[in-house]
Amino acid sequence: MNPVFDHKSAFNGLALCALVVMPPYLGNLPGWLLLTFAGLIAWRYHINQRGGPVPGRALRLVLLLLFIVLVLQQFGTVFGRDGGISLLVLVLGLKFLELRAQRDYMLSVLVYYVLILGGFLYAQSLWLALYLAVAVVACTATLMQVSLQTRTSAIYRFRYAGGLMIQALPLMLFMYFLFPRLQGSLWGLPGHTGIGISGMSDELRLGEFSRMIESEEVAFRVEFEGRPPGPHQLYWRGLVLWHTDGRRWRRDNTRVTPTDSAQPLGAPINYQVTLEPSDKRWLFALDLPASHPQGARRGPGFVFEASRLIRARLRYGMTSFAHYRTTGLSPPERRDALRLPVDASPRAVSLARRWREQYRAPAAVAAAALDFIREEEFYYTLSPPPLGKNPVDDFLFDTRRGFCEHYAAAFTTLMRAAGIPSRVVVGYQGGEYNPEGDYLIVRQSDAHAWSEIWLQDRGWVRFDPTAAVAPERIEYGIDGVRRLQRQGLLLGQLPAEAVLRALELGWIERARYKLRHSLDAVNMAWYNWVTDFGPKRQRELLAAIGFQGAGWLPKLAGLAGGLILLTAAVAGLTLRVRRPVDPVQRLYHRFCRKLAKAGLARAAHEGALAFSQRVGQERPDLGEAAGLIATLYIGLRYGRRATATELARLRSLVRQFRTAATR
Amino acid sequence: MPSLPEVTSPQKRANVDTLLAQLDQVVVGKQTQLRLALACLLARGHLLIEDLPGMGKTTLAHGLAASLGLQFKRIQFTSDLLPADIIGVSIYQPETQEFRFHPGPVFAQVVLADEINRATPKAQSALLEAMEEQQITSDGETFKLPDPFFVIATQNPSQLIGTFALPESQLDRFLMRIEMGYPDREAERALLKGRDRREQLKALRPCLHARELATLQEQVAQVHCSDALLDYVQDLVDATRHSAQFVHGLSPRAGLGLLNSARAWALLLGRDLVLPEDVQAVARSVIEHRLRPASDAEGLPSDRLVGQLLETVPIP
Repeated sequence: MNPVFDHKSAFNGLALCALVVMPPYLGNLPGWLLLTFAGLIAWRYHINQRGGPVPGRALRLVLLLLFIVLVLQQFGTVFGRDGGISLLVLVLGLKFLELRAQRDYMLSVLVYYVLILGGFLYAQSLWLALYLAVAVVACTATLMQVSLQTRTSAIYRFRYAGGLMIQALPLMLFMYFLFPRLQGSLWGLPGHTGIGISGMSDELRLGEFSRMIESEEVAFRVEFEGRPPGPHQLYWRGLVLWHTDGRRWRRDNTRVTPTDSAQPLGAPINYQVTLEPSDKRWLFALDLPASHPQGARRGPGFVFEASRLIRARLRYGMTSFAHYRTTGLSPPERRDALRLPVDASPRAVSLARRWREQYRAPAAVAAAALDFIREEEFYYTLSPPPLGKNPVDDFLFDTRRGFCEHYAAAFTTLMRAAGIPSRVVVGYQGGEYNPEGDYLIVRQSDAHAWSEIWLQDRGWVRFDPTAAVAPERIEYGIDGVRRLQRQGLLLGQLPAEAVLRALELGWIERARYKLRHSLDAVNMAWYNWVTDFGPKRQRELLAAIGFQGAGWLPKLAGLAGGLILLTAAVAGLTLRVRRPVDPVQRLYHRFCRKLAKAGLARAAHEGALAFSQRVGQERPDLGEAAGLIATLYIGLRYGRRATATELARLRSLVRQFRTAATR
Repeated sequence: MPSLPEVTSPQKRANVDTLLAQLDQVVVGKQTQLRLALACLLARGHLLIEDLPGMGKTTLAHGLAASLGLQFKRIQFTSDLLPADIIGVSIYQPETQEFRFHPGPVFAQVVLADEINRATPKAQSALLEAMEEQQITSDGETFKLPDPFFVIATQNPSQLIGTFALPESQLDRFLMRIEMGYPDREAERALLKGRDRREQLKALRPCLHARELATLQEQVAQVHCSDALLDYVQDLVDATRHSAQFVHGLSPRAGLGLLNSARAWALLLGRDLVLPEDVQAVARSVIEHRLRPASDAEGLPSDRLVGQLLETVPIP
């Protein structure tokens, strides 16, 4: 037993370590379990304070069985993430009761390391990683405390543990980035993100978006190749809604094979979308997508659906065209795009029919509808009054207050009544450009709905009636709208300069935005380089450092070679320290190695004279030769001058030196 | 077995051996302490002996002085001792109508400052200044102290009642601190059987003359220290500076003291070169009182700390 081992401070170290290691499990493991763990530590603390025996083997065994039963009842298994970690935590608590020898303490610290790693099974954020790095340092410091032969100060231990961590960093980065990656996310886990998922629903019910508009959560982030398009082009297409009963709009689940196609006009826009988990299947793309996200299915209306619910961040590259012409409206689709419920919205229908007779051309009818919205007293508001039995009529002729979905639904209804094929598209509009990371953040609050109408010579054309009533929504985004509304301004009839004045930001606001953007950029980088660092990213990285197209095997070989070289370099350095260049030292060390083989190892602090005397005592037969060598060595190493003849004599003596018994 | 080169003449070595043998008769069973004390004297340092009363501290000091044929004075430190009681005082002479300096007990070649930590810091520092400068200044006049000048201070362990612990800066003035320790059974028996110590002390005759002592002191400075050995000394000093077990590391003066003591030790063994073993032999006495264990290491006695230090620093 280590003479300076201090049970009390070792126990304190272990208990404090629990305070650092356990917080990530708050909310992830059941409360009773964490309380039990804390209780077991408190129990041991009580025993330490009062003196008295630790619980006997029988009681501990009963507790263990009880814990296994409890965990089984909670999770149905003692394996897997939840069951396994729960049992580990409880067993560690039991270990506290039987801390006796130094190795018990060391074992407990090693379990802490496993628990630190376990924290990553629940979340992989940058903040958690930084926190757990601190936890590792704390654990290492505790390990030093319970394992070192000497007493050290806490500051020294933490500094030393931190130093070790920093020294390990290059190797860690090397392994992390270059070790061949397996397909799958960082931990290959099923998505258990579970919290705060608020994706877009596949229905548009008048009054539903307003709840999403309250949500600041990020829907997805977009990195553009080259300059991002202007706000008027940032329409993120998600779903196309065909069917309505006058109040709700639904998508079509019957048709799966698209018959439509698009002919791009103008320059392509390339970008990468990083979609947050939504627990839905929709993938969003800039209007109008020309490519196809990997592993997704395209449905009619240029929308994409993933094969599985999106429960982890998803990243895909896309190409879109801002200008395009679509073709291929099948007769059943045309029928659906014209269908209105019988008896719904009679006033709207009669208004639309009047326009159709007056203007004839579908484009002119659409323009008339936009003019109607623009010129009559319509307002854009995020808190519209409730609508009655006939929502579209109520909205168009009575309340005249609403937001995108009211306008899109009303406009589409008017178009269908006028005999023009039309549909509602939902998705997001705009986004917040993050200059710190050079990408666009699209939040749930950017949710938007607009219309598309079929014009014979151009195909589906986007019409956004919201832009007619509140151009600010498009120009300044939903964030701008919210700020205007907070100042009590009613959108729809505002002069442009009033809007600009109202939108000016104070420096505090600007700083807040900058901070928010910086944090978001850091998070995004973490995701790109850590959480999402899969085989594809690794290939890109390797290509960037010159391993173009290298396969699995050459990479592995390269890694192994690198490691061997690294080890060799380290070993070379170490050996150079061990094997002195000084010929006298080399000879003397050779002599010592011979003796070490015979079981007489020289301690590092043992002087040559003392050593030779010890050799003489333990092996009288070697005493004379060892004494001679020691005398020569001492003269050469510590004397005034070393002569060549003495060196030669030492060399021959060391060579002739034999440890075999000569009896 | 070839012997190592020697500097000291056989005659002188014989004298040194006689001296040690003679002292061993008086201070029974303390050969290491005797050798350390002599090495301290040869390295021109001062010696601090720490132990309980009655362990033979005074006997050792007295015996050393007598065997070297040096003048010996003893100052008993008490709590009311004044600096003038140590260094002397100027007294008005009516006949010459001027002040004349009456030298105090410090004017001796070997001064035994008995129980130094019983005096107030003021009195302590008067002696310690004298030790450092080897001269005394009183009323603007400077008086040189004799040469060799060797102070042997004894002190009781500071836990005892009525002691003023010497501050670290003053402990540093002593080249070595040694402990006497209880005699072993055999030595104690010899002690009990032997004659009265005081009589024995009186019977001691000088074995070395003042000039021989001075030569030996000069020779200490000439004992050879190779680079390999200096590496070792530096490694040791560095280790104290980077260890978390000590409040602070050794000063350069301590390193120098370590080297000089090792030289004297080697000379006493008749060698003209210093070996790491010599450094190790004197290290505890030279280092220990200059190091304060860090609070975390308090559980470990400081002598174990120095032992541990010697065991952890490899000989290059």
